[in-house]
Amino acid sequence: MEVSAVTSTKTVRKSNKRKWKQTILPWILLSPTLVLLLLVVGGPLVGTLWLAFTDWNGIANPEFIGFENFIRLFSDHVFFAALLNNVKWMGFFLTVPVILSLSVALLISKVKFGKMFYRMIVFIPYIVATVVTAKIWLWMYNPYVGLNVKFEEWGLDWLALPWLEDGKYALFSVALADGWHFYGFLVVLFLVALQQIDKSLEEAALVEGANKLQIFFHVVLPQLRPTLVLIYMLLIIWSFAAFDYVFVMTQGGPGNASELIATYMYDLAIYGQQPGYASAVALTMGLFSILVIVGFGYLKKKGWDV
Amino acid sequence: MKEAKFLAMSLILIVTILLTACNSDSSNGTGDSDAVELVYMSHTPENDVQKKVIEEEVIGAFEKEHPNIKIKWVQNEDPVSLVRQQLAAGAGPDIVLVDGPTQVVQFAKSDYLLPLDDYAAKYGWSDRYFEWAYDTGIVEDKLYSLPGQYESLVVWYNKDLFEQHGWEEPKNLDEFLQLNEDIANAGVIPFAFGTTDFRPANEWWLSVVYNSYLGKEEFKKVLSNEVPWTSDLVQEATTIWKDVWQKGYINEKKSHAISGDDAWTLFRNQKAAMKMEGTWANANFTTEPVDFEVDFFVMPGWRDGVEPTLPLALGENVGINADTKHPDEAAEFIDWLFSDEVGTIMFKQGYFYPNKGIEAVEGVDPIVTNVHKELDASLEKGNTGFASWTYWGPNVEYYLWDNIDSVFLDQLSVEEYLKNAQKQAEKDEEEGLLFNFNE
Repeated sequence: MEVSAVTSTKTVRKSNKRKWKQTILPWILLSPTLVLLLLVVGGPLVGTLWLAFTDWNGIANPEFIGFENFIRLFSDHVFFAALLNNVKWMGFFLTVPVILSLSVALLISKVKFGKMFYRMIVFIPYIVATVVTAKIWLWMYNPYVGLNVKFEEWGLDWLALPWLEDGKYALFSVALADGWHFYGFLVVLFLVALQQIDKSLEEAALVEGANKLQIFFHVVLPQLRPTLVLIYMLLIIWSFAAFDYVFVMTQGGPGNASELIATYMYDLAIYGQQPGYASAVALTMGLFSILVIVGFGYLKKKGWDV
Repeated sequence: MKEAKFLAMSLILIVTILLTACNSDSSNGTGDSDAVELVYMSHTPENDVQKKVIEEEVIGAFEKEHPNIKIKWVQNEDPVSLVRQQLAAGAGPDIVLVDGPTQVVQFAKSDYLLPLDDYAAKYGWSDRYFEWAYDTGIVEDKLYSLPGQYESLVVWYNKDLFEQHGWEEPKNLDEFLQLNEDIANAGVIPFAFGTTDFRPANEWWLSVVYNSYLGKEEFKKVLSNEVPWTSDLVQEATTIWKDVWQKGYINEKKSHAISGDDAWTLFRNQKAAMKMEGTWANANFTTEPVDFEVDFFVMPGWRDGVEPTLPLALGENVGINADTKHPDEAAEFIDWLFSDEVGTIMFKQGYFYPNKGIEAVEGVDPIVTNVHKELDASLEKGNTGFASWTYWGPNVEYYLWDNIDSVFLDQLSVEEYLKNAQKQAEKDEEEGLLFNFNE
C-alpha cells in the first residue's frame, strides 16, 4: 500500500514536472519577447489601423473619416505606380539574385580549397551598412565621376546608361545595388542547403548516365525546394516592404519612376503631413504580406514541402 | 525541478536588471542635481567651425551665465519633422523649432506651444525685432514664437569664369537665357544643382521662378487664392522653367540624378559657373573658401515691369513646448538665443537675424556683408517676395516640389500639374493654412 502511494506521488510529481516544462516554462521564457513585441509591433499596429480611418495632418487631432482614405487609394495614380514598381522589384529579386546566388553557391560548393574565403567574400556586402552600400552605388552611378566616365574612356559608350537620370532605368539601377548587397545572404542559404543534399543520389544518377545539367535539374534542384520556397516567401514579403535603397538613392524619383509603396508612405507621412492617408497606404503593405503567408500556408496544407 | 527553478530565477533576475536599467533616471544627464536641463533641438550645423561656435559662444556662454540651467543640444538633419512627430506623441524638446509661420499657426492651434506674451513684455521682444519678422509668431493676437534667421535665394557665380569669358549679370529673362546658352556653349555647366538627397530643394527654384515672373503683388494674390494656380501667368512661368530645365541649363538635365553635395563639388571644381542657393551658402564660402572669386546676383525680373524680387524666408521660428516643466528657464534661453549678441555672433557665420540692434560687424568676409546689404536694401524698397517654406500653404508647397520632376520629364503636363496644385491650395484654404497677408 505504501509502495503504491509513493509510486503515485512520484507519478504526480513527474506529471507536474512535465506540465511545467512543456506548458509553463516555454511561456515564461517567451514572455519578455512577447511583451516587447506587443509594445513595439502591437502598439504601432493598432495605431496604424486607427489612423488609416482618419484625416490627420500629424499636428491637429485626427478626424474619423471612415473608408475615405481607402477610396482615395483607388484613384491615386502614384499609389498604383508604386504598387507596379513593387511588383517589378519583386520580379527582379525572384530572378536575378536567386539565379546568381544559386550559381555562385554551386561553384563554391565544388571548390576544394579556400571555400571559407570565397564564402566570406560573397557575404561581405551583406554586412556592410545599407547607407554605405547605397552611397557607394550612388557614386558609381554618378554621371560625372562614376562608371559612365570610365565606360566612355574605354570606348564602351553603349554601357554608359542614364542609370538614375532616366525613369526607365532608375528602379532597375537601385534594385541592382540592393541585389548586389543581398545576394551573399542567399549564397549562404544555398550553401547550407547544398551541404544537406544526399550525395548518393547524384552518384546514382551519374552511374545511370545522367549529364551535369540533368543531375542539377532532376536531382539537386528538387532537394533544394524547401530552401527555395523559404527564400521565395521571404523575397516576396521583403519586396513589398522594400524602402532603404530607394530612399537613399533616389527618394522615389525621378518623378515617381522608382517610387515604392514604402517610400510613398514615408513621403506622405513626413513631407506631405498626411499620416492618416499614409497609414492606409501602409496597411496595403501589411495586406500583401498576409496574402503571401496565407498563400504559402495553403500550399503547405496541400502537401507542398514548404 | 531545480533546473527549472534556476532558469526561472535567472529570468526574473535578468528582467529585474533590465527594468532597473530602463528606469534609471535619465532626466538629468549632467550629474548636477541642482541644474535644470532644457532640451534644444536644431539643424546639424553646416560644418565643425560653426558647431564649435554654437557650442562655445552660444550655448557655453549661456550656461556660464546661468549655472542653474544646462542645455542638452540635439542636432538633427531634419529636426522639424522629428519635433512634429514628438509633439504629436505628447513629448518633444523644451525649445520647439517651428518651420515658419504656417506651422506656428498649426502648432498654436493644437496647443503645442506656450503663449509668450508675458515673457515678451518682460524681455522687451516686440521692440527687438523687425515688425515683419516678429509678427510671424503671432496667432490670434498671442505671441507663440520668436523669429530666427531670415534668408533668401540668390544666384552665386564664379566671378573669375565670368570675367574670363566676358559674361555679365543678366538684367532680364532674355539676358538670363542667353547667359545660360553662352555658358553651355563654352562647355561649362550653367547651374550646378542636385536633389537626390533632398528633393524639397526643388522648391528653392520654384520660389525664384514664381517670384521673378509674377512679381510680388501678383504672386501674393496666388498665394492668397485670389488668383488660381492655373492662371496664365503661373502657367507661363512654369512652362519657361520647364524649358530652362529641358535645355540642360540646370545641371545638364541631371539634377534629379546627383546630390546637393555633388552639385557643390561641380561648382567648387569650376565645372559649373553658377549655383542657385540660399543666402545660407555664406557659411560654406566663409568657412571653406573656394579657389576662385565668388559673387552673387539677384535673379532679374522675368517679365516686363517686374522688379528683381528676393524671395524672403524665415529659416525657422522658435517657441516653447506647452508641456515643458521649465517655462521660465526656456524663456531665458530663447531670449539669449535670439538676442542681439548671438545675432552678431551668427552674422560672422553668414546668418542674419531680424534684430534691429545688429549693426554691420567688422572683420567679416565681404561677401557676407554684401549679401546682408542686398537683403536690407530689398527689405527697405519692399522688393522681397515669398519663399515657399515660409509663405506657401503646406499642401500646395509639398505638391509642387514633389511633382516638378515629372513635369521636367514630360510625365505630367504643366496644365495637369497646376490643376492639381490648385486643388492642394484649396485644401490649404479649407484647413486655414494659407498665409494671412492681411495681418
